Amino acid sequence: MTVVNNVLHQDFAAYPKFGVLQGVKVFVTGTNIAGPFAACLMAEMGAQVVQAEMPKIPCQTRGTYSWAQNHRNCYAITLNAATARGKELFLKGIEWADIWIEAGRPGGYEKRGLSDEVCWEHNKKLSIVHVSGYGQFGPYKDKASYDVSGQAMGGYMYMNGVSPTSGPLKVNPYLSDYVTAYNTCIVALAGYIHAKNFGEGDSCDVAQYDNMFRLMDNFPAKWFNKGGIPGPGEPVPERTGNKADMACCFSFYDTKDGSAIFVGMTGVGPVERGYPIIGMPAPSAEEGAEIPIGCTGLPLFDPRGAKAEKLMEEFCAARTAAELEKIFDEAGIPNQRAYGPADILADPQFEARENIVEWEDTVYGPMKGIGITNRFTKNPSKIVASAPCLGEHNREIFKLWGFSDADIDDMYAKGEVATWDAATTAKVKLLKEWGFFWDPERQAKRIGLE
Amino acid sequence: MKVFHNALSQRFTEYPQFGVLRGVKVFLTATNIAAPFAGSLMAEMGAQVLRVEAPNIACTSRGTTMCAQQHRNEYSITLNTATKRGQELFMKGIEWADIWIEASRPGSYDKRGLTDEACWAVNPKLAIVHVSGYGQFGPYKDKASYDVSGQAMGGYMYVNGMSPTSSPMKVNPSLSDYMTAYNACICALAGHIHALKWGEGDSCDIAQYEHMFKLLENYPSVWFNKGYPKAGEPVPYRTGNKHDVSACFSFYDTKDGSAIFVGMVGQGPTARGFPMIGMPAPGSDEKVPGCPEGADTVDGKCTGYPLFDPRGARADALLEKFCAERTAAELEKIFEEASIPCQKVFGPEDILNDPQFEARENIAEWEDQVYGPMKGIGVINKFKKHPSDIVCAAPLFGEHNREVFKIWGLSDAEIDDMYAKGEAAQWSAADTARNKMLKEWGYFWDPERQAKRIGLE
Repeated sequence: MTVVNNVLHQDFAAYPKFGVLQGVKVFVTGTNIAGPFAACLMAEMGAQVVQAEMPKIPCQTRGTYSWAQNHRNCYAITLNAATARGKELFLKGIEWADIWIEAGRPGGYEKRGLSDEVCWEHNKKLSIVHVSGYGQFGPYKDKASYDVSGQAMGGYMYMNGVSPTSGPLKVNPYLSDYVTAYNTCIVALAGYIHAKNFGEGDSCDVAQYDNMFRLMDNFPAKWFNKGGIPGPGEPVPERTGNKADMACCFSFYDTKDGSAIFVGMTGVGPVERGYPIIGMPAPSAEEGAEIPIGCTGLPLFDPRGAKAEKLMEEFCAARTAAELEKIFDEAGIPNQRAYGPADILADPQFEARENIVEWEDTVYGPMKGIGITNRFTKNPSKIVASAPCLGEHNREIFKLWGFSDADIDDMYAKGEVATWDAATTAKVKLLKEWGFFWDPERQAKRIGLE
Repeated sequence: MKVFHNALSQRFTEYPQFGVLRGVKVFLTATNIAAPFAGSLMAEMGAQVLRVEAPNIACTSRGTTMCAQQHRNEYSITLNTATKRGQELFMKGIEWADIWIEASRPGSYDKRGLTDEACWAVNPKLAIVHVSGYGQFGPYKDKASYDVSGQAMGGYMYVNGMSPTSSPMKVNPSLSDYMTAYNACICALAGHIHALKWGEGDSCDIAQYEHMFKLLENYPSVWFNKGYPKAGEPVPYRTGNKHDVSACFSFYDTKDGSAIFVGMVGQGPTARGFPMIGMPAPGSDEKVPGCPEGADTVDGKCTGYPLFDPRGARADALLEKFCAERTAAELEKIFEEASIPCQKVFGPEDILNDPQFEARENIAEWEDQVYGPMKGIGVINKFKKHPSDIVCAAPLFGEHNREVFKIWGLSDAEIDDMYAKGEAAQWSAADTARNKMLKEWGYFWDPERQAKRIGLE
C-alpha cells in the first residue's frame, strides 16, 4: 500500500506541473463513466481537467467511491448550457481548453447554437469528442445510452457465456463504458496532436456500440466470410466460458476452494513434465505409445485430448488454488490463478508497483483504492488532489474567466450554479444512512455532519 | 457494408496523407495483440506504422483473418536485434520514429545495449512504451505474459461469474490483450504530446495485470475500505446478467436462446410496464402476493424496487417469466411500443442486418493480399475533417524490407546478404498460406478460388 500525500483542495491557478500531459487543458461536459473517465486518465498524467456538471443534475456517481477514485486531480464547476449565462461560461471553457469531451444526447449542443463550428470560431485548435451510445447519426442516434448498449449491441455478449447452449453474458464492471472512455482518450489525444501539428482541431464521433464491435477480434471476419452462423436457438460455439475452444489443458480450471486457475500444459516441456502429474501417460518413444515423444499438446476433439482435459479438471477440483500454483510452478508449467481481493492485497507485485494507494478524499477522508498504473520514467503520473466537490471551483474559475463576485453571487441566487460541500454530499447522497461510510461516526464527524 | 478500394501494397515513401495522426511515425517491435493493436489503432487514424518481426519468428497471428484485419495500412520489415546488423537497423528505426512500442521480455533490449537512454541519444523526442504481462520491475517481471495474466491476476475474473457461488470467469475475446493495447495507445500518444510540447520524449512501463486492475471500478475501494468475502464464501459481485441491486433492470433470457436488457425503472416505465408483466398497476389497491402487510401494494409514484424488497423480487421473477416465453424480437417490439428502455443482444445476423451498423459503415469489405476480398470490422470513431481510412491491405511478412532498408542506407548487395544469412525474411501470399496451412486447415471460405488467386498449387 502506497500512501499518497495529496491536497484536498487545489487552486485552479496553482495547478502543479507534472506528468507527460502537463500543460494540456481538458474541458468535460458529461456525466458517469464513458466520457469523463477519459479525462480522469489524462488528469493522472498531468493534464488540467475541468469537469462541468449541471447545477441541478450532478453526476450520478457523486458521493460514490468511484467518484472519489476516478476524479482525483480534476476541477469541478457547474453550468447550464440552456441559459444565456451558461452558454457564456461554456464558451469561456471552450476558449480555455485544448480538448472538449461531451456526452450529451446527440445534437444537444448544436440545438443550443453550440455546434463544433461555433466552438472552433472561439478556438480553432480545439480537439472535440462527442461520446454517445449509438453515435451522432444513424437511425438509433436518439436512443438512450447505457453500458449495455455497447455490450449487447456491439456483439460482445454474444461471445460470452458458460457453454454453447447457455445464454449470452454481460461483463462486469461496466466494460463498455470503460472501453469507450479509453477510446475517447485516444481520439481526444490524437485530435490534439493534429492541432499541434497542423494548427487546427478536429471533432470525433464516438459510439459505445461500435467501440465494443471493434474489440471482436476475428469473429466478425469468420462470421461474415465463412458463414456457418448458428440459427436462433442453436448452440453458439464461441461461448466456452473458462475453456479454450480448441486446445486441451490450456484453460481455467475450477479449484477445490471455489476459485479457478489457468494452466497452460502445452509445449514439449510442459507436456512431458505435466502429463504424468495429472495421470496421463508420459510421452514415450516406444512404438504405439499413447503420447509420442515431442508431443506439444492435443486438441480437445482428439480422444486423448478429451481424456487429458478430464484428468486435469479432476486434478484441479481436488486441490486448492494455492496448492496447484505450487505444484505447477515447481514443474515449470505456466499457470495463473484468479486473484481475489485478499490475493491482491497481499501480493508482492502489486506492492512493488504501488498499485494500491491510500489517499485523502474530501468526503471520505483517508481511503484506499486503485493507484497509478502506467509508469513513465521521466514524468511520472501522480495523485495530487482529492476528487472535487460539486462546483468546488466555480468562483475561482469564473473569476478567471472575467466574472465579478457580484455576477457569481447572482448566478448562485438564480440557481444557475451550485456548490456542495462534503457534508452536503453526504446528506444528499445518504452516505451515512446507506452504509457508504466504513467508520460512520468518525467519517461523519470529520466533515461536520450532524 | 462499406466497400473500401484499398491498395494491396503501398510504398513506404508514398504513404497517403490522411487522418488526425497524419505525419506521426510509429515503430513497433512486438507480436500478437497487446502491443501491436495499439499500432493498428494509430494506423487507421493516418499514422505511418512500421512493424518489425524477427526473421525466423513471424507473429503467430500471421495468416489469420485477425492479422488481415488488424494490420491494414501498416508496413512490415524483419530484423533480429541479436545481430549487429539488426541492431544498426533497429537504431535507424528509432531515429525515424516518433513512437516506439515494444513487448519483449522485460530487460531484453537493455541487455543488448538498446536502452531507453541509447534510443534517446539518437532521438531525444522518442515516446517509448514497454508492454509486458507483469511490468518492467517487481518480483514477477520475468513471468511469461498471456491474456490471462491480466484477466486472472488483475482481479477481473473475480468480479465475473454466473452467480455468487459459481467460480470466477474469464472474458472473451482476449479482453486483457485488447485493453492493454488501448492503454498502450494512450500512453504512446501522451508521450508524443509531451515531446511535441516540451521537446523530449518519455518512456512508459505498462503491465497487463495492473491495467485490468485499473478497470475494476469501485471494487478495490469497497474491498480495501469496507471488507470482502473470505475464501470459499459466496462472491456477491458475480451476478451474471443480473443487476446486483435493482429489480427489472437486467438482462433476461429469451425463448429463442438470446437475452434482452430491460430497464423497467422510473415512474413512466414502471406505470406502463408493471401491468404488462402481471404486477399491480402503480397506485392501484391490488395486493402483491406474498408480501408483508404495509409493503404489499405498489405506490403511484413507484420508480422501481430493489431486489431485496419482496415486491422487487416478485416483479423481477415475473419479468423473467415474461421474457422466457417470448423471442427477443417480440420483446423488443413490445417494450419499444411501451417506451420501456430495452436492448436485445446482437449476434452476427443482427449485426449484419442492422441499419445503425450500416449507416455508420461499421462492417467493411476490403481486399487482403492473402485472402482477397474479405469482410470484417471497419472504421469506427468518425472524425469530421480528417476521417480515418483503410488505404492498404495488411502487409506480408517482411514485405517492405528492401525498400525501407535501402532508405536506411543499405545496398541491394547488403540486403541480399542479409537474406542469404537469414537475417531478413519475406513471405509471399502463397508462402503465408503454405506456412500457415490456410487451405488445409479450412481458413479459406472459397478454397479453390482463393488458392488460385495467390498462385497456390
